[in-house]
Amino acid sequence: MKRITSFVLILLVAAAIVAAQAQPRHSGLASIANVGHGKVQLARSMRLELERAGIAPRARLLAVRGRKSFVRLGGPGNDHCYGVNKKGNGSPFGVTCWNDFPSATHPILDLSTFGADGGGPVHVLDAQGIAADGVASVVFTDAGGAVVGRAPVTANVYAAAGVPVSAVRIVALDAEGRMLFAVPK
Amino acid sequence: MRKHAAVVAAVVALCAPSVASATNWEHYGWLPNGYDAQCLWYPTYGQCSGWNYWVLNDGHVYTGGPALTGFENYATIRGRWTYAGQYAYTHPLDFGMPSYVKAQMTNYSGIPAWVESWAGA
Repeated sequence: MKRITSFVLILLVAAAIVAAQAQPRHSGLASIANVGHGKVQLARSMRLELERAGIAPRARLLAVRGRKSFVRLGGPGNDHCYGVNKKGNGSPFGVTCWNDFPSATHPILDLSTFGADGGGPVHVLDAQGIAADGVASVVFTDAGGAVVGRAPVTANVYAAAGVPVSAVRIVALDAEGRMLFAVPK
Repeated sequence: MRKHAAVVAAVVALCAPSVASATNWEHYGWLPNGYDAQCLWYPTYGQCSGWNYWVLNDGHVYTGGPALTGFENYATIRGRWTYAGQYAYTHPLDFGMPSYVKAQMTNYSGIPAWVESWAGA
């Protein structure tokens, strides 16, 4: 009897180990808890632009950071578009659509401005974007990979102004500080 | 009489079709795609439009990349990194740029991309 009990115990421990290993390394990368709160009134020119692109001209507010409003755009079954609008700006604003977001492969949808002036290297100018639930923060790294800045993710949104000019990449991290994705790769 | 002529001229000017409004530019194919002399910043990695009062640059990456979708002038290049499967609708104003610019799409990621970049003025 004792031998059977020991065997069952070993089996249970083995099953627990297998189950633990079968757990995904990261969780929450394919979901966004922030479903938005309230509709956003879009300017006529923006509505027309969205309609021309085949995107339902509807927007829900995800978060406000300073003068920027982060919105999710589109209609039922086709609401995988996100944009950031400067408050009070009635002009059409940039939108990015991505069917494969959020996912374990693509846990952030970056809306940052990258660029350069006067012949210098392309770098991060204005960091902002949407992140899956499992993304805790983003860091900015220089050409050598050293971290030069950081921004938290709150309500599935990250935003940072005044990013150091040495920042050339945005790296998404989970709560344990493990790298999930980088922009650019 | 002079007042009437001015009003008529203004109405005609408003009704006349704008050449710029009918203008568009497109690159559909590989990126990089050889040397593009239209590009001021990265002619070996990018594809660029001519000068115009561009309103929109819609960049789509089918495979590969990522590629930078946006605009440039002599002093400045701006854009958003666009990944395979993404559609990035960008405007000069998104980047604080004037509207008289070149639309550009640039890929120096080392991974060739099949893209479509469409700009409208």
